[in-house]
Amino acid sequence: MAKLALSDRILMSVEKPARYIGHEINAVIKDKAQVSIRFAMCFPDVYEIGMSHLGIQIIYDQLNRRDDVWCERVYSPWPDLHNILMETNTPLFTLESQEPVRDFDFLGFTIQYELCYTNILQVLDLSGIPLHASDRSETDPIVMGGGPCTSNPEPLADFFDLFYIGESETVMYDLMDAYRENRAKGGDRRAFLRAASGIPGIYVPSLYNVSYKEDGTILSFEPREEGVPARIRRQAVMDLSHTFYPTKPVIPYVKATQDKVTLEIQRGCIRGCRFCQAGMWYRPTRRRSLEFLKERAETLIRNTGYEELSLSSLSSSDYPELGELMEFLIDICEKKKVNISLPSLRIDRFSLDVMERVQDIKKSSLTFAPEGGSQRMRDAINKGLTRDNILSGSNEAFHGGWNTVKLYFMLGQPGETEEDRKAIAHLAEDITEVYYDIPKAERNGKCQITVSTSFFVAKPFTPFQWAAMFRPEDYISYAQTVLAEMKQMKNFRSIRYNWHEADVTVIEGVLARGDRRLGAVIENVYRQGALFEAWTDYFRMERWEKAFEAFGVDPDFYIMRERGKDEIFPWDFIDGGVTKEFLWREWERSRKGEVTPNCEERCSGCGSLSYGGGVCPGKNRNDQKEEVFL
Amino acid sequence: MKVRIKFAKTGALRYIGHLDVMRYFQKAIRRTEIEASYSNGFSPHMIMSFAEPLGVGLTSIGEYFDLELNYEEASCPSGEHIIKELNAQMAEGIKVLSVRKIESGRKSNAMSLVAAASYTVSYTLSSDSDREKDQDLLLKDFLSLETVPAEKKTKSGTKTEDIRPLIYKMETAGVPAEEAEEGFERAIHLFCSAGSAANLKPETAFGAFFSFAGLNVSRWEMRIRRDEMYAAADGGTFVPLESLGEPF
Ligand code: SF4
Repeated sequence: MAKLALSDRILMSVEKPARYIGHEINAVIKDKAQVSIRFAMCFPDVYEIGMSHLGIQIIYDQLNRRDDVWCERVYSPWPDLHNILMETNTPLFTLESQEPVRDFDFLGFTIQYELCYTNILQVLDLSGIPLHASDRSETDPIVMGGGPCTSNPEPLADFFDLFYIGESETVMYDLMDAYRENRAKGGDRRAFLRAASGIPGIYVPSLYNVSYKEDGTILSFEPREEGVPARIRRQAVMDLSHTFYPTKPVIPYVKATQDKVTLEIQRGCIRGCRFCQAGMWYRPTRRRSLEFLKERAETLIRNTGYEELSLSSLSSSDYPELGELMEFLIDICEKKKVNISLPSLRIDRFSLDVMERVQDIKKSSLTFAPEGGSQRMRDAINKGLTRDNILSGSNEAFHGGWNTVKLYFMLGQPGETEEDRKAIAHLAEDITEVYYDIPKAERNGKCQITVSTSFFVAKPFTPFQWAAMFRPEDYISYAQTVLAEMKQMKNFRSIRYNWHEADVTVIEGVLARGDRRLGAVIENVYRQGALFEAWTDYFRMERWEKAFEAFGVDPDFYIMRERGKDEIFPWDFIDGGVTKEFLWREWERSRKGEVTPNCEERCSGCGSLSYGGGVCPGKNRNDQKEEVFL
Repeated sequence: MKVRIKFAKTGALRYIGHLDVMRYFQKAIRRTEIEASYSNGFSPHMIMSFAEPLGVGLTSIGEYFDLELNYEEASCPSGEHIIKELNAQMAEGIKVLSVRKIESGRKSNAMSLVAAASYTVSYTLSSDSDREKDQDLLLKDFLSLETVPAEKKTKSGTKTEDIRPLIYKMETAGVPAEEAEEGFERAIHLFCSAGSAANLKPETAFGAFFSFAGLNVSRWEMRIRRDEMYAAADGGTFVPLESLGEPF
């Protein structure tokens, strides 16, 4: 008889009970008596989002390959169930065994975006695990965090026993071994954390001391104990063709946000856009071999039965053998009637040809992400996309039958002027002109240009980590400028404009570059009832304002300040590969409007060569100014 | 060639919604070597149609869908083989029970054929005084009512409807094994109208009976299982959907 943690009464009163019952195809069931480590892996958002995440599936597969570990999954209960669990004092459980998370050895979180921080506290709270690492006892799980937000884990330092900085494929097994070893020796929690701190990439926040200057910036950041490393090296796997990649991912019943096979073709990006954290954090660019991808695509289609396959990477067009890969995929997908989707493609002859073969032109749209409206702005952010690229790409596409274009921009970037903002409207208008220049008989009705702007958030490990951001009302006024200019355009009726929320941007900004003093704020916001803040309907700025006030934290300190060259950042203890010197150089180049070539054109000496893999070895390096900074 | 597939959905999977079950089968079929037929165009879909959606929380040992296969009759794998292939892909709780060959064409769609369905409800009693009540007697009294008004949800709110004509039979039944194991004490069998013309939800029928009988059984204290779905046959009789197909 299938065991369920929740009663019929509860399951029948919540929306989508299938989120909580487990029993999915390919879910791993083990005998708990036969394993020595029980690991609960959490994506702190709703099931449908969490189940769409490739990273979790990789870790799940990786850990469950070990006979001594049983890795299970847990997601954030939706507010309806959250309230019931609270009222009925029911402990949060994992999907596979339906047993309480608090009885596990590990609770691991993947931390993908800042607005899920309150959901992390929710999962701890519902599990009955003390929120503060310092309050946990020997029977509580070791709470660990990984994922992109660990590029600055400091705002969450109070809540985690350890952070895993880097890619799961690297030291996860070492960590499991250390845990077993410590237990065999009769070591306690503290002893384990001390041992874990010796594993490359593992950061145990309680073993470090931070002191602040009078102006609020960091004075020093030091290990508390002899032998604890002063810097933590981000771990990255160099050979992506010979490592973990699930062949039998768990297939949800409920329709996941990404209800498809995800094929990660490469990790990292050669481009170096200055606002983009992923582009710096995942350096160097590493590609999976064509052979590996072909084999995995076939296996995954066969083992999952998904009707869609999607390539995943930060910039698919930069995968050198994309043409051959596509030929192969189109061929096998045709046989099994599988659709192919291709996000993040540069629009050119080749990609249009491919898109024409795999998509319905009438229903698909072209996507450009110029991010900056003017060439000046695009140079400042190092976005190597020109007006010419966009117009000629659009022209080709319009002749091929497309008539919808989506454009993505960012507003409020460092150095941006009113002219740059207005330029967004003009670029959109130029595209409509290209369309209406085509003789009426040859075009496909009206064209539809959708312009979306988000607001810039300064992120750690980017050249803009020194930059000041703006206040919500400024952001909104920038969007108004774009809108007003848009209305002046001749073809305004062919253009649609929408922009993001500004309050959310500010909170993301505070958390992204925050420090340990924000822990109390996050906890307070959670106590006020914040959950699922990444969902617009659930975000409330007042809670944050109240919490800042209550703890005497000035958000402006984190967002409105341009930092000086010598400031110690909360995340400086991480050696992410890319050096601070390189980032500073890029920051200066940005201000001078200088473009930096991509890794394929010329190596800029970013520091990632130190990993000894990916695209770096053998790249032309003679023109770099690296020596100045060494 | 068109086939009708009968399956059971029990245990924890009673919480999987109707659309999820459809997607589940599409994926499961793709994982086998069985060749389904697809619609044309850029996003081809399997040509399948499900009979009468089952509510979330209900189990069933009589679910159906029709599926178009990409075979000529002569080259089609046997029904036995298809059952085996599919069952190798099922999750615990879903099981394919039979595969039958049916005529093609809209008229023979499982969806449009459903005219009646049978259910077994298992329930527990909350007090000894309730336990003393004679179920058979209560059922007899209930069925002798001329009208049974029940609330029905419509797009614009709720309206009251007489469900008595939709109830064909209601009698005491043995508690099914799975439910007995979970401690359910009593069971009732219901045979009623179903399908697009006049669909009676079993929750509505049982709810009306329990309130008539003065028994305190809330929705989560009963477990409803759909046992079979029927098409109308000659002379006001009904036949199981499965029997309209031929084994192959
Ligand atoms: S070291 Fe050079 S080639 Fe390697 S990632 Fe950095 S800039 Fe690119």
